Amino acid sequence: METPAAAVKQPAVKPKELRADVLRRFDDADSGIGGMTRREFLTFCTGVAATMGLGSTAGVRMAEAATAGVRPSVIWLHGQECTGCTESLLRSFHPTVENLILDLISLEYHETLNVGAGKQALEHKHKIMQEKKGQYILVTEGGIPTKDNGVYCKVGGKTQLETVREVAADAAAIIAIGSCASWGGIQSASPNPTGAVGTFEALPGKTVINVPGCPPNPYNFISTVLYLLTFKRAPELDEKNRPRFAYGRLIHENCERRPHFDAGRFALQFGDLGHRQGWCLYKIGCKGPETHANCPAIGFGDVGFGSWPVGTGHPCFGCTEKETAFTKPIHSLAMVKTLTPPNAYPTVDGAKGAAVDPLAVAIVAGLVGAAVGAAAVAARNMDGKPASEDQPPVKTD
Amino acid sequence: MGIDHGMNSARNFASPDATRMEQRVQALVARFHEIAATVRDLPFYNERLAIETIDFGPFDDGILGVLVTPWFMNLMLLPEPPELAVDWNRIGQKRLVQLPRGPRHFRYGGDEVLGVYWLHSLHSPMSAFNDQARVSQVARTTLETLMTPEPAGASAVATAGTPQRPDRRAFLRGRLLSTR
Repeated sequence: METPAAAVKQPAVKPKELRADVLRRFDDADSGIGGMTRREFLTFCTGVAATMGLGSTAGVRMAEAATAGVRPSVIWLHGQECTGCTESLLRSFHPTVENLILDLISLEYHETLNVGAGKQALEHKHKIMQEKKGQYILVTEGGIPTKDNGVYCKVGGKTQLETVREVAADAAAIIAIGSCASWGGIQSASPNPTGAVGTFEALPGKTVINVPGCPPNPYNFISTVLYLLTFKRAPELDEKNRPRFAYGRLIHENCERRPHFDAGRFALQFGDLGHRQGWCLYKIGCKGPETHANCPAIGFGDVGFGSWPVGTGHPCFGCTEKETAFTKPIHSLAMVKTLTPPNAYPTVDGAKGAAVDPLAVAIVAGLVGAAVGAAAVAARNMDGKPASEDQPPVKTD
Repeated sequence: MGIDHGMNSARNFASPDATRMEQRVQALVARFHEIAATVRDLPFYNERLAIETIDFGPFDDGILGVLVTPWFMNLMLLPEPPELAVDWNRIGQKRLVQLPRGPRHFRYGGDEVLGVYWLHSLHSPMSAFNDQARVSQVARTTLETLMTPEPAGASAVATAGTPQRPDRRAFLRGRLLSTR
């Protein structure tokens, strides 16, 4: 594996410092991106970079990569799913992610959003697969049934298993969005009648970036895409191939109800005094102590503080964890994870300089972000060129 | 909260309020012993650990140190003078505190006995720890790190080659690290 990514060592410049020198140029541009002015877009990218534990220089790079006019083609396949991931993505308003995703990438095939239909749509997909061979991004949404040769999910006469394998063969990068695509999700819950599996299980030997959640937070997906576009490789991933910037910490560590947990104040049932007072939901089944995700830090729906399950009074049900979601009853007590020390504060005995100082993260994004080190697993080049002279992309296959 | 507090100036235990500070830390420990009795049967309670306070000392207008319990390890900031009236609607709200190492988010917490305190989670649950000595060592080292400004050498990577006023073009092109 390569040495820690150079991106990690970039200076943590606050957006405040960016504004004077950088933003002016972006103001001169006439067109907006995703409903945003260029200034807003640059600020957005800087925020994304900060969320990922990168310096604002990375944000500028992301903005440049995204506005360079080379929109990578994306083929988005739906398997066994509810389309909630797409719905979640389309309902993000800051920025308008549906515009951003359409301007940032070239969405060539998406069964929910296609203008064309039937044979016409399938033909376009095949055309793109030929024309953009080795350059397109494959996004999978939904589980893949494998039982009885995968007959339980077919599109255009082909099973989902066949389609995913066919499209993945020449994809530059593969992203599995949502819990179903990541490991099978609710379809794979016992007794798993269709033999549903996640994308990585259907594609042995391929690197699949998992962005689980039910639904996943759209910003985690967008940030991953921006990172891919900019650095031509995957962000640092954990052992379940989830980007560490988003899935590096336990829900419990960032939870706003944490002071109640510490002080031993627990809701005992829905609607009781403790529940009405906003006390810790552990005793009514909150899986926060065993679930890795950044929900409490970034929330959903862009409506501010508390806009996530625990914030609204429902226990976390562990949607980003294969061993938890759709497996354990909502009311059962969370298992206690054995943790390695979290990495969002300076390492005690780790090598200096191997991890980004989380200050930038804390300041800029308001997150207790995760440190970003070397990319553990990397995607293939999208254009075959290194992202920069000091960051050669890593090939894995 | 000031950002320029060095380890020595900010954490001077010989301050005239030492006795009072000790009383507050003792009250903290006593209260968490009471709380421990109510959570002892829960799965996250690590029987191998005890309640311990690590290196509490004055920090700006409060008292800062690490509180170790069998279910969490937190940085605790006790306001001085004590704020006994807890605003229960504020529980969980965040505030940035400038530690010498840099800003950290602290959450508003409190208790009817102790009053208001601010907490910053370091570890929870505590199942990764097997013995108290190790926990104390981790707590002490973490606090020491947080209370020490970033050494010049460690941040050299981030600052070397960064001009005071970077060339705009180079800046836009992400060449701040051109010396690397």
